[in-house]
Amino acid sequence: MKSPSIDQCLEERQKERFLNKSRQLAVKYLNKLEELPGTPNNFTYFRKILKKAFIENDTFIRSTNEKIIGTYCVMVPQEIIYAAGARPVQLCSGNYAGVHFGDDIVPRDSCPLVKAVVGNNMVSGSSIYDDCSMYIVPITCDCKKKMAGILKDYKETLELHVPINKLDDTGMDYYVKELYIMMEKIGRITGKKVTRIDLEHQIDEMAVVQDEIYRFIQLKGNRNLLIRGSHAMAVMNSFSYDDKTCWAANLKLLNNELEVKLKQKNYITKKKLPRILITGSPIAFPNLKIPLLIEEMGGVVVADETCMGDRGLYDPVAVCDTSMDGLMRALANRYVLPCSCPIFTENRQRIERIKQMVHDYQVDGVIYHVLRGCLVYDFEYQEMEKVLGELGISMIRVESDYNEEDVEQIKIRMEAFVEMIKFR
Amino acid sequence: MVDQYKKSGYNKYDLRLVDTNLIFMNLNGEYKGIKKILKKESRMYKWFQRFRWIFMTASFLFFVFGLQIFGRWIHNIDLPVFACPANSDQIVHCACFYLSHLDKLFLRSSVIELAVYFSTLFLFIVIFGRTFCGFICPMGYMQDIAYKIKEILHIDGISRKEKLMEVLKVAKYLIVLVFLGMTFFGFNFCRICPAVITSPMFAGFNHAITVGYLLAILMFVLSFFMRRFWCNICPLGYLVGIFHKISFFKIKKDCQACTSCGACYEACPMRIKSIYTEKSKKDVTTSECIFCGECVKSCPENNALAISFCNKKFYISSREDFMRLKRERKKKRG
Repeated sequence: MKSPSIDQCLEERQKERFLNKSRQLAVKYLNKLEELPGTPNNFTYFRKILKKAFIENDTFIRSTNEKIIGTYCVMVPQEIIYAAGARPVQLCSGNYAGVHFGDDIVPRDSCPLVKAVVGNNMVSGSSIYDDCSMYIVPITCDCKKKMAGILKDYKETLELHVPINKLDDTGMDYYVKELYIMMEKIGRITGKKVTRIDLEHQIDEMAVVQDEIYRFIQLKGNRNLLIRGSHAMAVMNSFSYDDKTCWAANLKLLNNELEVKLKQKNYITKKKLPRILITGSPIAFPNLKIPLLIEEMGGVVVADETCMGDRGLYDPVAVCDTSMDGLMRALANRYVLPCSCPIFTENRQRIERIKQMVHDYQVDGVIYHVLRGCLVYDFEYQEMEKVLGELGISMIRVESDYNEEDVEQIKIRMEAFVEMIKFR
Repeated sequence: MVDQYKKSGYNKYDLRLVDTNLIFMNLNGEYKGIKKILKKESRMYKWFQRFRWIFMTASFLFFVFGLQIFGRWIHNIDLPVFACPANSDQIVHCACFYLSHLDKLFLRSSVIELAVYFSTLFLFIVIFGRTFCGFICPMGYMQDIAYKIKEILHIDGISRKEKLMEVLKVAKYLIVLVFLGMTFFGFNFCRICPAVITSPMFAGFNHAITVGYLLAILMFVLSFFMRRFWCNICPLGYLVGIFHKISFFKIKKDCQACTSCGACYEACPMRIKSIYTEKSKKDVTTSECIFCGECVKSCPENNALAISFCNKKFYISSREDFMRLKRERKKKRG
């Protein structure tokens, strides 16, 4: 798969150009976030984490000597990685510069996220990729599957088989077995054997984080706007780039700030703006194009149903049985069953989830974001449109790629959409 | 970054102080103090399970020693539970005896006795349904104790798989046939019934049913590894469960609020899958459900699952309760 000629051709200058480009991109989007009116004071911390990981190119791990494990999907149980003494880092990339390099070995029609990931791996230099001891790639969509094959050339890669149909118990049993293998492999890297108590402790710690996240999601969806969706998305994206306890403590500060704002009725805007929900393909950090455009055009993002946003961190682990096997089963259930990713053959629950979100957060319009080449999401568009049409909620499909060329076009559609909701 | 926060004493920051009670969105998206809205439900999350244990312990004691305390005045009522009538000190009679001796019931009883037997039994089944299994049955109590020991020891159990459940279902039908029919062939179910482990053994009634005791020990061991093993194949429970459609107790589900996280399926001692897969119906009660409340307890979504009596929901799942329960469990562990 890997062609050595490319590696040879890749000169130092090219690498530098890549790093510069990705840095510029991250700076640009962080500045855009900062320029948005109504940035909360406690957003600074999250900005700093993103800045550190994407601009200063320095992971927090370098100072602590911990092993880090790269994960390529939200369907990897993070508690197991923590319990084994390592740290998970979310590596699904939104880097436009990576696409340029990834294009050489990834077919044209595959999704830009995979292209960016491959590109980031081809050009060494971004620290969050270089510092990883192992990659874990859940075999979800076709692109991810082939990506796992390519990544094997760069680093030790573990494939995690995700069941195709969630209702099938045999598939889930197999997934649990896979998790045991994963635990053992990470243990081999860190030299630590995971005990039941470790795992239970990590589940507890994660529960504390999730408490805060739940509170944050509720505050975000408040009737009057307290925090902008783009900021919220950046907050969610920054999760895996710092110690989780530290992150949760800061999210608590942010939540408290928002709560004070709520009590003082100090809202971002007093106007009634169209409330928009984003669903669809992942929106990974530098690629915050869609939520930012919505907010520029006068809409507000009140909720999102994307895996890098709320979906990945919303569901808690429900432990019913405190034996080792019981904990593993609980983790397997939490990371696969509630996930409404369309890679599963039957995915009615996603529609129900969105209906519930529309109801809970009083959504006026839904933006169905599809990354170019992300077929699985495209498949579910028709039915979603039909169901939401019955509810009287308007929805548009926005296709985007990892470049700035389509911004103007999306802008026009977004503006029309927002105006349409306003005048209804 | 980490060092900076460590210096400022960040790691000492007690996150358990996070008071999620402060904020809660009701369905209109309006902010309100949660305490007012959820006062009634928030007590239930703690008390439903406690109440169940208290009730089961009390009824167990009544079954073993009840007669000596309260006398014989309700002795002739038949309850659909597995409290072996070989113990004549029980406060109430048990329906299983006549169901497994149908010939005796029809040949020896008068019409009035028959009418009283069936009407009271039917009334109990309609009003309470299989709540008898979850709240009163001493056989269930023994199994719950076995499972509790397992939970304390943290030993891996047998995760119930669909195939195993199918086998158990067939076994259940066979046992129902044996339970009802054997009496016509000069044999009866009481001779092999594992329920001897319940009240006769504790009340000191010694009767020589060796097969029953062997089976009882087997059931105890199996229910140690598989929660409520006997209930999955219980013939009496099945006969009560048939009437679940007209029973007053129901499990209600809001399919829209459900995220299909499978927590209820994992928690369910009867391993009822339809509660998790159902995507349109509101009533998800099945003939297997014993109303133990484990599904509602483990459900993290607001209003997704509830136990109702006469269409009035009284034990409702919510994220607040779920998280509170988790925090309490953590505190207990220290």
